[in-house]
Amino acid sequence: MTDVLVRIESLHKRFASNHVLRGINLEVSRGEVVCIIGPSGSGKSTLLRCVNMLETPTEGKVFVDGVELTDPDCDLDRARTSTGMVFQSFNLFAHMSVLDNVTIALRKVLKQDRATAEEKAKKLLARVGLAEKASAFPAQLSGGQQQRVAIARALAMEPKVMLFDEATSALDPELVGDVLRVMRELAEEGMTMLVVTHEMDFARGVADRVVFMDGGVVVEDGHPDQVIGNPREERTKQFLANVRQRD
Amino acid sequence: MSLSRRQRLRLVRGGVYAATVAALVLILLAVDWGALGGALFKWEIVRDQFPDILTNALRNTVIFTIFGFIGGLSLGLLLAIMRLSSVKPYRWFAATYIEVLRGIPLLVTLLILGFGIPIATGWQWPNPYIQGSVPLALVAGAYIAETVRAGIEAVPRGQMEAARSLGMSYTRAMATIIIPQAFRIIVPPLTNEFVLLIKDTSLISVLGVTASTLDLARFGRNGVNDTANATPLVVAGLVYLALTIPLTQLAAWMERRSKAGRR
Amino acid sequence: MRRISRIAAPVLALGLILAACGDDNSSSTDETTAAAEETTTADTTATADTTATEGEAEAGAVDVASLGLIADGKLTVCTDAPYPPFEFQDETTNEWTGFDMDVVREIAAGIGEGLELAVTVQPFDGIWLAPKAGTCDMVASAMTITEERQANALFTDGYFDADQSLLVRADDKDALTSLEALAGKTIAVQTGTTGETYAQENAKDATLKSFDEPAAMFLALEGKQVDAILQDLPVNAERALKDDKTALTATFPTGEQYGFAVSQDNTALADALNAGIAELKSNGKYDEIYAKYFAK
Repeated sequence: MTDVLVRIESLHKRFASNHVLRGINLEVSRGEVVCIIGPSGSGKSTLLRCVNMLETPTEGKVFVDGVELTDPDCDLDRARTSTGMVFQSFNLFAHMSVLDNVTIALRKVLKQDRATAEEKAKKLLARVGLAEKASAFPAQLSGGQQQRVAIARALAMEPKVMLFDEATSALDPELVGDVLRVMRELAEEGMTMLVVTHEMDFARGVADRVVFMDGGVVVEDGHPDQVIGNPREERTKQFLANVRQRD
Repeated sequence: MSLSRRQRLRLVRGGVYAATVAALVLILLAVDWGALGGALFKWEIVRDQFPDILTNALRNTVIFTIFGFIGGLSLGLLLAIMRLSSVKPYRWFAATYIEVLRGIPLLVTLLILGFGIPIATGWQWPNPYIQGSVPLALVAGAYIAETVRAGIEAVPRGQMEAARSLGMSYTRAMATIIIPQAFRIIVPPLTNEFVLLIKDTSLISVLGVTASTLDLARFGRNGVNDTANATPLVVAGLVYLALTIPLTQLAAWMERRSKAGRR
Repeated sequence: MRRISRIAAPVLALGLILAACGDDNSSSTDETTAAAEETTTADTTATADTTATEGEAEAGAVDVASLGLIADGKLTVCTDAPYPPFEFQDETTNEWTGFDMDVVREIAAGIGEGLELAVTVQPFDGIWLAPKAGTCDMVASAMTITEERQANALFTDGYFDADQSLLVRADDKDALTSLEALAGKTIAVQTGTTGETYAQENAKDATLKSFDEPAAMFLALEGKQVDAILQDLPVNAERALKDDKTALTATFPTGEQYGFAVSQDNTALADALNAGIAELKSNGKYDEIYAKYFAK
């Protein structure tokens, strides 16, 4: 039996009167890359943010590596070290250098000493192709570079699952490629990834599964060739048609 | 009548300049500079103010200001964090404190705390510097709290989210990520707060002064009494400016620099 | 047409403003306002206009016009109040009353019928400079006549003996009965008063704390931040009567007297006031008012 790393059970999320997530059930196995696509307002980001409890579900349960995050007694800070999140707006710590951005959590949360942390950080920066920018500050980097640093920062904590919340949506088109490349490499190395994205080509090429969401529910969930190439549902077809029109 | 718009504007501007220059010249000629000088800036009196105005009065003003500021800053930070806390009683307490301390004039607060507490409890203020600085700090804390809160709220929400995602606790995230960034935003208004404090110290003398605890304003007022001339006050005012102008310039410079830094 | 009016308007406006400022040297109010500026920022209960000229005084007949009053039909008085029993407002009617106020009111009635009192309140510090600055005609503020003050104001004859006294907490009434007993202790005095001077000269072994007003001194005494208050006898006596937590323990005759003050060049008003004081003393009114406040 495959190892289920993320399990979402009957998840509901309401913001005041807005019922954003209407009963989501989802499982992600170790090493799987799942892409979540759908129109804006479908609840994709909210769902992702429920996985590391940046949003608190109104109903339902979330499990990461067997730990129930929705349990009130759960130590969320510790649980969050199992997940790594990459944001649409990068959210690098502007007052710290690139190197410090990557090491800060290692030093403050995992209590590693500076030397060990920096060594690890430098390796990670090299892996995302930014070794020479270690002493630069976020403001000095392009969007694509900042996002790659953000990926390195998340990877530093050795998470079991990486969560990407529209990681390339805020990037200029020519910078998108660099970030996608890093994500692809990560996937090929076997990282478990949950990716909310608009990049259909990436989904088609890298994902093991594609989930189409609309109006707070999962409409289709299957192999990318099926969901994107040969959708069953009308809503999926409509969405994909709109996307193609845009391109 | 057939003047172009630009020509009309230039004419108006020229007219205004001319009128201003004319007014200044008239004022310069009309004022009796000798009498004005005698009443506001008599040299012998100016000389007599030193060195006591610096070694005694200015020293005291600075002491009160610094104690008041350090106390106010610490309190303000604490209050701001309480104000933003998810624990309701903390929020409520901080909001009430800020409301009350900002709503009562500093003079009244000084009197209530400076005299009221000893009268009500028999407890004595250990020394006049503490007696004057504590009320000052308590009030400054309320104002600074709002400035700090605004600064913290100005830090993008994503910063906290990123920090929490990495496994940092709320406190750790606040201390390492949010507050340091908030401070960059806060420093210019904080400098203004410091300047206001310098001026607020002039109220402390209502609690009574001995010869060694007078502040600048009190020193100036006593001087007027002793010399029947306003010069001591003018000199005191100039010393205040010598303190406040560099600070306001510093704040403006910092603001310019932080604006330039943002792309 | 329009372009002319655009330039003319600001110029005209400025011209009007300058004209309104009036001529320079003849108005002593503007220049010497500086000296009393700090004293005019206090609360005022009734303010007087400062549109003015101080006329040259003429000796002799009490011609109201010659008194150079800053407000017609009113005698404007500067005082540091409340300072019972000399100047304070009646609790219910808000009318100005007290030894000083009653005396001045009587004198004003004598000068010219219908001459009302207009009272301006300001801190005691330098209050004798106010007539010179033009904020009032005279000062009535339980004010002792001293040489320093006479250098800058014209005082009337004395109208009340100015003795100093000590007020202490009731618990200390047997122990703190003299200035010597206060060695090493703290005495409260009011800034700029003869009490302060007296203490500086005679209580050298004590620490002196100066306050802006009696209210703060009473609070400090109650709060045990000072051990005694050295100020005018009537004021301390009044307090000791009203507040049984305090006691009057010593009186220091100084040989000094209170006087009213006017601007140095206003000899007409000074003469009128002196005449009034003399009149009151001779027709018994003075004793009547005295008895009202100081009968024990």
